[in-house]
Amino acid sequence: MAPFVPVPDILTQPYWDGCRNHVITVQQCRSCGRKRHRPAAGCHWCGGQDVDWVELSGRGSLYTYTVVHRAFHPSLADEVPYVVGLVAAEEDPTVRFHTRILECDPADVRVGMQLEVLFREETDGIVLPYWRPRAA
Amino acid sequence: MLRDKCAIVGLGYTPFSSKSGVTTEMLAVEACQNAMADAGLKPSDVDGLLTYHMGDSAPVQVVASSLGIRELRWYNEIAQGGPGNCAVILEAAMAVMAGLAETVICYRAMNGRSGQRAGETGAAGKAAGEMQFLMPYGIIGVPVWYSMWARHHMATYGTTREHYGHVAIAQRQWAMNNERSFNRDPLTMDEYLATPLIADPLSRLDCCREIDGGCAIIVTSAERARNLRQPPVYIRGGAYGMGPGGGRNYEKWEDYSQLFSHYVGPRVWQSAGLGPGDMNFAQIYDAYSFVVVHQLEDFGFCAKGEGGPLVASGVTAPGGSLPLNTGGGMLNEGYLNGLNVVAEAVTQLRGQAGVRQVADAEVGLVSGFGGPQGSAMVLRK
Ligand SMILES: [Zn+2]
Repeated sequence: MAPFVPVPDILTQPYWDGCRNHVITVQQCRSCGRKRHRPAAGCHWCGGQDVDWVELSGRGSLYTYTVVHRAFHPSLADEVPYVVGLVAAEEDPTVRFHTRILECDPADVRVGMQLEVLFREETDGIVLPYWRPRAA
Repeated sequence: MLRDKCAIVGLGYTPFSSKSGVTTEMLAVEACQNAMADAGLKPSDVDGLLTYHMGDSAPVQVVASSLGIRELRWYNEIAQGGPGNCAVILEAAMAVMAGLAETVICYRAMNGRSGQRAGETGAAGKAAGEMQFLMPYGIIGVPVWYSMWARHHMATYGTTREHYGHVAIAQRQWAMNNERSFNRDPLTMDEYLATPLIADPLSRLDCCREIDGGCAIIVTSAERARNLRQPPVYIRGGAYGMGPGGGRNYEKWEDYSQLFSHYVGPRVWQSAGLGPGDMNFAQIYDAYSFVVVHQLEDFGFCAKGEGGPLVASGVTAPGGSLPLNTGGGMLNEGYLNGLNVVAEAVTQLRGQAGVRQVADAEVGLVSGFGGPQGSAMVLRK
């Protein structure tokens, strides 16, 4: 169980709704066509404000990571060492997601490794996406 | 055009400690009074006051009152951390050049150790706003975020833990000659590599220590500076700003191996009319060892990816050709959000750095880091 449960807001609710249906959804700018995450009031490429929410495949690669050895919160004391990272979406590597990497020994984690999303139920009706290694 | 129109004329500190036992207002007032005494100024000579903070310090209006400034003509607070260190100096210069104030005290005061600590989180439970995408995954604690930037550079350019270790080791050599440093013993590579990791690749030796303390720096016009007690240190040029991904919006950062200095670097050199080869030293914001390496590349002291080998060559240590963080930096003095980084540059340019004085120091670079956002300036004597 995650130590902190996300609190959706009016900008991020569609993302968390997608997770509940086990899909990763992101904002796509109607002006320039670029996708983005995290959800924002405007496009960081062109400033456009109108969006469509589009589904991604849930495949990506590891842009960077760290192995956390010190628990910065008491609820994490039994979890260290654990792997967290930033995942670049297969469809557009500039669309990136912070996450915990599951099913991966800290000794085996590598930048560039291929990943796939998996979803886990949390409290408050939240479904949280995690990522794990994927066979090439 | 900033070019030498304003100067730094006063510098004041409080003691740096783990537990000040006083309020941030008291720290601010003590630092400002010490800076006025250093400059030979009275409260009635000061008409501007400026600070930066992250909700962890006394309001500037309260500090003005306690300093006995009867009429403040200009004041402000900048709501940010590291980038505020050069930003306050540049903003003060702007206020002086615009005629809004004549003499401005810039300060930073914080109980960063005994009071509100960086990246502090409360009880487990909810994560709202930007944190809803970070904290549920255990991405908690500033070193956890930042370690991922170092890892990206390592994977991209072959930078190693030893490279980052050379930053910590060289700065420890400088720190041995700084009375404010809490680390006065030499550091070896074996000790560096044997220290347990906090978040790979960072150990505590890569992270600055949080402290309680205050620092104040006074800016006035170049004309007025010439008649004051201390040798003037002129603000040659400066720049601040950011690329995508500022404000912890890190998913949108263009390239994790670059910092703010990728954007600010070319502009600070243009502003100063000088380049990296002209610098007699650099005081580079060092909340973490690795950000020094990445900034050196972005500022053009070497090619991108060559920062690790550059520091490993020893040029940044005492006696080297690029004296860097000559008081030992925040890795050894502690985290005063970088105003102490500015202060060390002023001390060197006045020729008051004692045994750690850089010979013939006439001009140097100072930076303030906050990820994709930051600041930099060139100071000269
Ligand atoms: Zn757009």
